[in-house]
Amino acid sequence: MPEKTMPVKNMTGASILWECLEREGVQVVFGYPGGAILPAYDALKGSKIHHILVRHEQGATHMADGFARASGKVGVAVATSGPGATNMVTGIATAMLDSSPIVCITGQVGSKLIGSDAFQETDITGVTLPITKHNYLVTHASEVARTVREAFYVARSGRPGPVLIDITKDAQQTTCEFDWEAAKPQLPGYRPDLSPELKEYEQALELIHNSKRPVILAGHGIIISGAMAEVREFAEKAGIPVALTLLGLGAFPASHPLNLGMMGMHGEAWVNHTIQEADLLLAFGMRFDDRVTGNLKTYAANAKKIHIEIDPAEINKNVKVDVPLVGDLREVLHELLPKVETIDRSEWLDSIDKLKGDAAVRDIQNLPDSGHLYAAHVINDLWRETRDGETVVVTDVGQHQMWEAQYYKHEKARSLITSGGLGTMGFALPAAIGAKVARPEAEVWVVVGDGGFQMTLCELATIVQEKLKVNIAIINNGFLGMVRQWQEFFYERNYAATPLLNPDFAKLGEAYGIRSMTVTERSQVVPAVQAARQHDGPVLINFRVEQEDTVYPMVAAGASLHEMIRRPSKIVETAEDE
Amino acid sequence: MLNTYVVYVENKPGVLTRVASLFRRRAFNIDSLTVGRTEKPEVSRMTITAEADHDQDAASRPLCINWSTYYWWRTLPTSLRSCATWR
Repeated sequence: MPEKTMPVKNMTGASILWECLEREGVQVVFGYPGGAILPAYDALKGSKIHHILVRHEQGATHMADGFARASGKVGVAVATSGPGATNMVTGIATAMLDSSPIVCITGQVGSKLIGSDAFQETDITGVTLPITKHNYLVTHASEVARTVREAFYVARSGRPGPVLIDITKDAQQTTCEFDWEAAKPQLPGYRPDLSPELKEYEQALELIHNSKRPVILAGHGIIISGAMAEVREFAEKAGIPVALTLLGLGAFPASHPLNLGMMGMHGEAWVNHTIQEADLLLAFGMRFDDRVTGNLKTYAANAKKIHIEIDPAEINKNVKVDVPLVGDLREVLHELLPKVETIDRSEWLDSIDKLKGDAAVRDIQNLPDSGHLYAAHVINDLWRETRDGETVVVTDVGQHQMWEAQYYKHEKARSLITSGGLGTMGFALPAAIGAKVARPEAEVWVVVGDGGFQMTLCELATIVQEKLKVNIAIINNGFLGMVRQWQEFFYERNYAATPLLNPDFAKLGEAYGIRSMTVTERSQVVPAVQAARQHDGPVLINFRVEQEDTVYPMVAAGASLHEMIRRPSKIVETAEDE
Repeated sequence: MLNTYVVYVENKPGVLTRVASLFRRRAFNIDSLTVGRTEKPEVSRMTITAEADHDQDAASRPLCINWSTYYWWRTLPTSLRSCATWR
């Protein structure tokens, strides 16, 4: 707003809510009405905000999350009190662990009824204390404006995160004066804008210049900070190879010669070996999650570590680092870039190339065609068909998620949306809706397993009601795949509660009014993908893939990062080697 | 091994629970906790002593509370802040 806005008298809390959301740049909200939030819904007609009706409040939060991850803006979800609010808990925790900026607005019973176990009353602020970046209970209409402004500021600044605003019914109904200018955020102790000291920069540069075998560990923070160009320039100037976390995929182009690929539990073998042999790790916006480090006692034992991170709580949390640089990644790299020297590291890069050769033998793409349809083939074909345009792939959680990370090469940031930290099944379909709403010009593909799909499939109705073009690829293997894989390796194939009896997904899609098809042969994959892209409405493809397939390589829980279980090749008979 | 924390917080309902909850999340047992007013009426001071988790090597790993949620934490000079938090 360029001019100072004058206060307005006699606005209801509900109208103030929508007015503040509009001023924060919100154009769409995802929600589900109910008694305690009804006054807010009634006030919607006076607002330009478009409301998308979901089918489950969990879907609303995932949609807001997908919206935020696809665009970088704050996503908004709205629900009523009681069960509506508690249905949001999973989505809020998902956003919390992946540092996604969303604001969830829930209705609450009237302030005089709080604590009386009223109808549809829950202490949602208490319930979400540990899983929100911050939350608020608003009991007066006069508090609404400042709370909303503060909530958005908190959600998007520093390390982003979910914020919950619980507004009582009477706060929505009563009127007060609305003064936007006076409603500034007041957070005296919140300092999201820290910067490293000069001597810390010098220490970092000294380590970089003296290292012979450095590796950049690139994480989600690069995308949040918008530092993709800086990271690329840094890697090229200093000649350092880049390994990525799951949420960092796309932050550094997959086709770049310095890109090693994903690291961690299901990362490629050469990446994990490279990290274990490195003498310097530069962690850019990643938090040394246990999926990425394996056993912490043996993680990169010979390497010094530099950690560029905006949240001081992450420093030394899992891994002790030598030089922490607490600040915004983009700004820190701006400081480092002119001072970092170009050093010839061809010896190091050559030794990494030698490691790659070993893996090619074991890659599923190189195995002879056995007539089976593997998920990896589906994903690789999907990649080849969609690589040229602006594609956003949204995955659920499980084996297909790992195959997607391995076989779909992401070149741009925000082209992969996936639940990493919490690993929420059912995330994909609603998050894809949020992504499509955020970026209508992008081609959105959902890659989801038969298990996760059934958790939130009710949102198919949202796709149809909102007339969104979302393509859904169900990787259907009749199993809870990743759990089955763990049972195969560690529980002697005791497939307890993992076989899934599924409905005919194609018929289900047709029942929702979505063009659907089933694919069972390898040769049908590409025509199905092309047909889906050409159809101007949403499409659902049920890929019936090999039932007992395994994600390789795998770092078992508690194992060191270099002790991977590798795919048995034709030459090597054993399944395990170092 | 006990660490002592001095935290300046807003004198409002719910704040004590939030700070205590931060310790609970990381499974740190609070040995003692006291809160009282300061010379500023809107600011309270909490003094918490807590024992680190037994499995962790308390000497080498500083306590990892999510500082980003300390919205009410007064901006102490850096030297004082490090005294207050890491010991």
